[in-house]
Amino acid sequence: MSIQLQEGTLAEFIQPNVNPRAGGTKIDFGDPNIVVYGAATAGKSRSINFPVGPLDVYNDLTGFMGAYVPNPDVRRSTGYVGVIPWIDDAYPGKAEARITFVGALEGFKVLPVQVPLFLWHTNVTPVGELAAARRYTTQARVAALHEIQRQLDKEKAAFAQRSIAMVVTELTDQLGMSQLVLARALNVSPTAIRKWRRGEAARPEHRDALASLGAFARVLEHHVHDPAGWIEIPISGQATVTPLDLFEAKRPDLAVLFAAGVSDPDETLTSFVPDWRERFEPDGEYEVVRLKDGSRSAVPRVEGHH
Amino acid sequence: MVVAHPSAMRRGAQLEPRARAAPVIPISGLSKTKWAAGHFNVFPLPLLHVIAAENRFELDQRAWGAHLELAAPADTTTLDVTRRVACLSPEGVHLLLQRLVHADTRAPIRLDTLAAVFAPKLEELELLESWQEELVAPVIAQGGDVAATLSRAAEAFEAFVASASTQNGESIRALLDDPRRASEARRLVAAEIRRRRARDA
Repeated sequence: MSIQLQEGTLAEFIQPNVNPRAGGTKIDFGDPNIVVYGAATAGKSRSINFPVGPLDVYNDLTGFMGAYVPNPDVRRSTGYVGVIPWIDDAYPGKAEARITFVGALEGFKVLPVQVPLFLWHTNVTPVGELAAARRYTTQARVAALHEIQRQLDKEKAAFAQRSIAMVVTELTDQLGMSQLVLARALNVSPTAIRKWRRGEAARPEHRDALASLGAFARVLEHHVHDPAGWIEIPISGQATVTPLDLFEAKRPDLAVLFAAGVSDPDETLTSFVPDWRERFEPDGEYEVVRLKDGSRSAVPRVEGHH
Repeated sequence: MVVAHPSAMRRGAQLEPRARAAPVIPISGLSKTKWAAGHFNVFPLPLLHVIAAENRFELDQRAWGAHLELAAPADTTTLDVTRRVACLSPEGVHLLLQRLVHADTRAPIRLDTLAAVFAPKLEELELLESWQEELVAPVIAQGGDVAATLSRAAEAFEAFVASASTQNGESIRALLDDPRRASEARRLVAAEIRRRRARDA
């Protein structure tokens, strides 16, 4: 699906009185797969209230991670707003997106997919654009974390309905999670995990933690091929922290954000603890090597040897 | 207390004829702070009496510890599985190995490094325990000899993990040696346990 827009004023794309939202207006982009609604207050000012607009976009596009960067300068002067290109790129087949505009429409343009650079930069300095991008990224990150937490809560509720033996079996036998990992994640002994697997009762806080772990694994499945293996691999070569450590520290959302490719390792670990480089530095004295017989051994690091 | 590291005390499915062991005795004058700063020849077992009670053994509530200075080879035929009072957790194994290396060499090896060295072996032992629990327990419940049944099951496990289990001819053991594929090994072992249980039902 490719969206080709004509260049022109936003008003040209509006069909009045179609938006189901009160006071809104449907904006027809000429593609039946994309429906965008605008709630316009024509004739009052030429500002766009982005705190409403982008947040509304997040709500309607589940998992939205696009690069819709509002141009702060359009609030103050004639400008341009690119609203469409990411829909097709990030969400092929997405049937509907709703964007709420508050402000005057006259004088604003909907740009074609390929925005000429000279046009985009008409009223924006590179510094202003970067500042806007950063503001927007912060907003988007908050929204993404909120959405991840919602997914985790939903999955956790489903796991909480099952027997503890079923959950343990699902995590170990189907996902391939180690019982040692379960024990570590829940801060219990491996023996406790075995007892639960046999159907023995668990304390409520352990049932709750196990449901959280199940939810964590299920949400990760949307982003990584093998959650059970992935959670044990360090996030960065510069630290020993693994996604499992994030779960243990009650920050599975950061791990999911990383799994989704939204956060890079540095960003993820800095969000976890700012001084991660000092606190979780890899062993600088010894390294694990494989010997000729296939076994592993810890040997002193030799400078320049890898 | 057997203090041999996991790779050194087994040969295939069977125990080596000898394994390093240290006597467990009451240790006086030991505390969390003192343990960290000294007493390098002692491996404290502060909750031994608690764990022992969970396993239906009675021990005095004392400050037990393994005296590493007195560690020596022990005949493994004298080890009685029905008399196993307690078993170290993986973290406990790492701590013990760290203590042993330091007691012998004064070289401080980080726990995460030791964990990386022994991860495949501990994973394999965990799978062996699941194997025993799922496949041996029903036999013993019907009156089978504990030691002999465990030994046979261990041999069957050894044969399974050493044989080709994937389409590419890789063994479970080879998969366990790759952190990115260890979960695949666990799924394969779980499936094999289910298959054998269904067969034997």
